Amino acid sequence: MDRERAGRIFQAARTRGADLAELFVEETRFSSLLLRDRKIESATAGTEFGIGLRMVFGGQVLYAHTSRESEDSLLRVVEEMAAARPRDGSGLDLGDPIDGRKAVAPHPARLDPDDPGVDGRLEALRRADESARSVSDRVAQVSSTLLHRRSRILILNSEGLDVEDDRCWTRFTVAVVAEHQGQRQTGNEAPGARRGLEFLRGLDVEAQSRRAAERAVRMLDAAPAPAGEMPVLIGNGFGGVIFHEACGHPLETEALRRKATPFAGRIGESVAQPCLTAIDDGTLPDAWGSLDFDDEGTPTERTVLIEGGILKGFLADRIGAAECGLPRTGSARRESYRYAPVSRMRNTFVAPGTSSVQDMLDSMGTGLWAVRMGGGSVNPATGEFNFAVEEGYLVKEGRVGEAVRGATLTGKGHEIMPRIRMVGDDFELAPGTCGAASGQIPVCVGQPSLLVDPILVGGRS
Amino acid sequence: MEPREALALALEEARAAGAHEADAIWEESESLSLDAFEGKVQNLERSDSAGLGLRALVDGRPGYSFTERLAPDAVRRCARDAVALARFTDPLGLHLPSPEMQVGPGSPYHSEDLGLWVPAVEGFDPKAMLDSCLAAEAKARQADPRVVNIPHLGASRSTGRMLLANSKGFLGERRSGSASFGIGVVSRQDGIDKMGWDGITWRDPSRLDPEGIALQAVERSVELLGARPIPSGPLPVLLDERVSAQFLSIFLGAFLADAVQKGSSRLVGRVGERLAPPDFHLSTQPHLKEMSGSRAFDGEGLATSPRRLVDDGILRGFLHNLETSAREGIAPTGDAVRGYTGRVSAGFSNLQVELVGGRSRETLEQAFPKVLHVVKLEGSTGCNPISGDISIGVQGFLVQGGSRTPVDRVSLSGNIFEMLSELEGWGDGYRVGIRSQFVPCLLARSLRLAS
Repeated sequence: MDRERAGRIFQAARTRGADLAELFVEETRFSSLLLRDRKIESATAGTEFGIGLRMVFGGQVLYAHTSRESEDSLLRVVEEMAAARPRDGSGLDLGDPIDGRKAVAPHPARLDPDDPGVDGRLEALRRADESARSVSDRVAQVSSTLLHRRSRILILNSEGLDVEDDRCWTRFTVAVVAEHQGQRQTGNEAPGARRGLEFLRGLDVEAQSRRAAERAVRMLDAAPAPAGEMPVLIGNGFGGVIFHEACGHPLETEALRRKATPFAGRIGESVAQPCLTAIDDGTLPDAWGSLDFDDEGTPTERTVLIEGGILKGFLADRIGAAECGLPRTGSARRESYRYAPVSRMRNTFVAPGTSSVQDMLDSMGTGLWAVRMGGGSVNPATGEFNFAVEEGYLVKEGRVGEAVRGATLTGKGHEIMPRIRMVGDDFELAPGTCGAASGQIPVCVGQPSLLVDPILVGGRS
Repeated sequence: MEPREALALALEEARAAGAHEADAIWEESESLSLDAFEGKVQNLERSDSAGLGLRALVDGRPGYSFTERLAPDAVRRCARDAVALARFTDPLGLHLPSPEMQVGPGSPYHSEDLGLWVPAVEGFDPKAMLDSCLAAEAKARQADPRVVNIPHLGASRSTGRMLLANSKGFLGERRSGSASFGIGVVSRQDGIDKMGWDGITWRDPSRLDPEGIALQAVERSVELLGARPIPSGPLPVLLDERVSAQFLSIFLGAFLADAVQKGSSRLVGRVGERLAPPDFHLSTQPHLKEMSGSRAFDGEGLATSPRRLVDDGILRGFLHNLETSAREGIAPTGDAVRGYTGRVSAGFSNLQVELVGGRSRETLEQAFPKVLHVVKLEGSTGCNPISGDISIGVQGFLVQGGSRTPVDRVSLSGNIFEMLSELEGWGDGYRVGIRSQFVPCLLARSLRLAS
């Protein structure tokens, strides 16, 4: 996009009364390889290309995207959108222009994944398959994928912002199905990083696959989970998905703008036990959810959400910050040019504490150890959540007993927070994909093991 | 480039690069959506997108590529990528359909006959959208003093066109358009919030009835106020038609031939066996007028036809694309599903649980002295689509001796295959609106409830 053409588009937007106009130009290359049933089942490559045009009139956002990059068609979009705009915008001071110069790109991809022929990718998938199958003859099916995405983006706005970024992500996934006497159970691992192909070179693919296979096989012999309120030790790493869903989303200004969060007006208040500190950090080197700049050009940062149980802040994009009277946190994100950016999480985690897993098992009495969480969901407006336990064990008087399956954890986010009684020392981050108003984006969740007492467990016995 | 020209170029370039067969899909869409909050427009979004996807077969080995850059050079690169990638994959053993298996313009089920497009959709402009939002918001706020917030309120329209072509001369086209409206209402009592949501899609925007939808959302929100858990234990469960399709769809992967062939479906080896009571029919229905999943030809250009996968309670077959039918040595069934960015899979065109033998919801509620009537599901991630294990949070009502008490903070568990085999009954109607799943309410004899 040449700057003069962009300037004429911004001029047209301003003439129509826009307080701010922005262009987001993206070209993304994808590639993926899928192995299943011992075969390379598909190999895909692709190019996404488009331009997002955002115009802000007070608190009102007009967003359009197109793959047509001619000046005429972009000017036509400006005219059509401005003409269609219902004139009810309130005055909103958007604050100082974004200073896009501060970030130093800390996430360069060293190996470009664009050509799938150059490396050991097929071999990595085959090794994953073999090592999973070597775990047990009960392993019935293995599928494994390698995914790469490289985005080159340009963000320009009518205040003179001019930011370019080059973002690369690599992810390996393995899914194992174990089968015995008609029972089928699954195990998954899916490590990923904001890196190029070098990520794969440093990854122990066999160990990841074995871990997934062992979990699937173990769960074949698991008994139905118990039901009722009880203490639950939630495992580290992906266990952080509960904090992400139940507290992270309600701490986005996108929820606050719609008054759809139980945390509204509670900054400075106690929302959890003093042992709990939670952070959203876009600066972690190579982490799956890290950024250099956010998707409106603000340099990323580390944002403390809860410190010692006290609510400290929200995650804000520029409009959310202006509307809610909060500081910006460089949290504007979008899946692609198809979406207007809104406040979203990056790498969100509960900070490590001092308790060992054994201390927490000793202290919990009788309950459930949810070693590995599956996915879950939450209604941010009411805080109600529901999460699956992928690998769980009964605990009786501090001793770990039999494996159980089919457990879910249910509750309300802001009610669960004060029940986090102990925080472990075994911190881990885990990559995931978060879906919300601005699409599917890469994020990390994370935590040490946490003892929550009590929480409602749904099970079969 | 124009779609027909781009498809022809992609197929020709793939052939020149060494592909023996190829098929290509073009999809384009335009949409406009408006969100309002507290009487004002918060977002207005306009989307205009197009993409081309190609599958090249070299000695039966597939390579896939796609592009959203649609200039000739980019389309040529896309074709070369697909052929280059084909060298990494294993052969599928399929051949693209021969002319007599194909349909196109002039066939008995061309898209106009299916009613997927009405011109009126283009008249649903931002002013009309805002008017419907404002009318609905006012109606919702007047309806009940306990309504405290309306965080979700919006209307949209979308139109789309899809063209599919293959190297054997097939060319098919489908055009569709629809308008939608949705509202989420939060009401409060004794400091507890409950969200009620309703939304609808029609081909013709004049059918949307935003005020009616708003009242429905309010009712769904306030009816759950005062909800409490009930004691754990086994209980008959009536899944309302609001949630029955969502519930069944968690487990529909079991009907994909691909999953069956690769050992990730519990229905392996069960064709001919009883899955559900007599009179229970589960089918794919590609020719329902106006509906979201309706289509004359599938994602590989084969003519579609309605088919029962479960007939009178007996499992009769699975959903196939060319690859899975070739692997099994059976005739293709026309269930292929494809988008331009992805590879070919299979799916229900419209899923239908037929109404034969259905009874009214009131009758079903009285089939047992105590029934949990479920109207809301909270996330499906506790359910295992492969094992069929169910573990899911729900909200609803305990129906007992003529009274209905709202219930929350409970979760259900069981197994979908056991639930289907012991199904006590089903309803006699579907939800209204344009959709791709038609499932009446379902009465399960016993699921385990935890609170």
